[in-house]
Amino acid sequence: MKIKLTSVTVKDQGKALKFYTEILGFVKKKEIPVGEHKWLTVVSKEEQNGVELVLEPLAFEPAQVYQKALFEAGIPATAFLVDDINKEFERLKGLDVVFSMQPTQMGPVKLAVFNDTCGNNIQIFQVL
Amino acid sequence: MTYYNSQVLKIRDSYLPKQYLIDRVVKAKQAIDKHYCSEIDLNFISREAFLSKFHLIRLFKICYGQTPYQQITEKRMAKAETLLSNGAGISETCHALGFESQPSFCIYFKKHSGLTPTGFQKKAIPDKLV
Repeated sequence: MKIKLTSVTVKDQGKALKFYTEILGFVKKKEIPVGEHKWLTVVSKEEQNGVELVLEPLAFEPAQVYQKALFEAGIPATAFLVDDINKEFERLKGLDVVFSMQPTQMGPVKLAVFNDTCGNNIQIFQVL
Repeated sequence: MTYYNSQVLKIRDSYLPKQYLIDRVVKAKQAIDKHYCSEIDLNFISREAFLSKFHLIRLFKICYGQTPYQQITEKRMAKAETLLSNGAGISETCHALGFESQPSFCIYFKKHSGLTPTGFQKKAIPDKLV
């Protein structure tokens, strides 16, 4: 058994694909039409055969409530590892990404949290 | 400030070691990152971090969830697997990781991955003649 997929629920798959590829720099891996939605995944540019992130449509109503509650509390839906958080923070800020937490050290890790514009907070972290 | 931000700060201030100790543990981790391919031991790492060996092991485990030795092993194994997957020979991999002899590398590799370097390479690159 292997961990090959993880997911975030997104309000709009088209908008999410744009954000996750054009702003975050991921690469589209699969886009398969399934009725009114798609099976849509992205991967890290550096690990294109690694774990796929499913940009999952938010059709199930309780999931919308859950996503909204997480978002309002500032809790990240998922987290991505970066090599240099200060550099990534500056790069994303330059692309008008909105942060709810600026780079903050917590033990041997530095964290920052931003809005993915699709209903989620996303955390980036650097292990020092 | 969001609920999450306040929880992060609360956990940091209530449960994690003081910042000056964190800085020393990070120094130890950086020494491992830099020297894991050569023969490093706890004496060297603790000197780099200005911590006693006892405190280093304790604090390192609190910060990174593993001992310095476990971290060195993990990094060496990851490097060995990358080199072998990219077609490097066993002797080349063994020397790149600072092992003095090929048999000791093979025993170490088998102990930590469950496969011999040759077995691992056959699985990773089925077409390679090893």
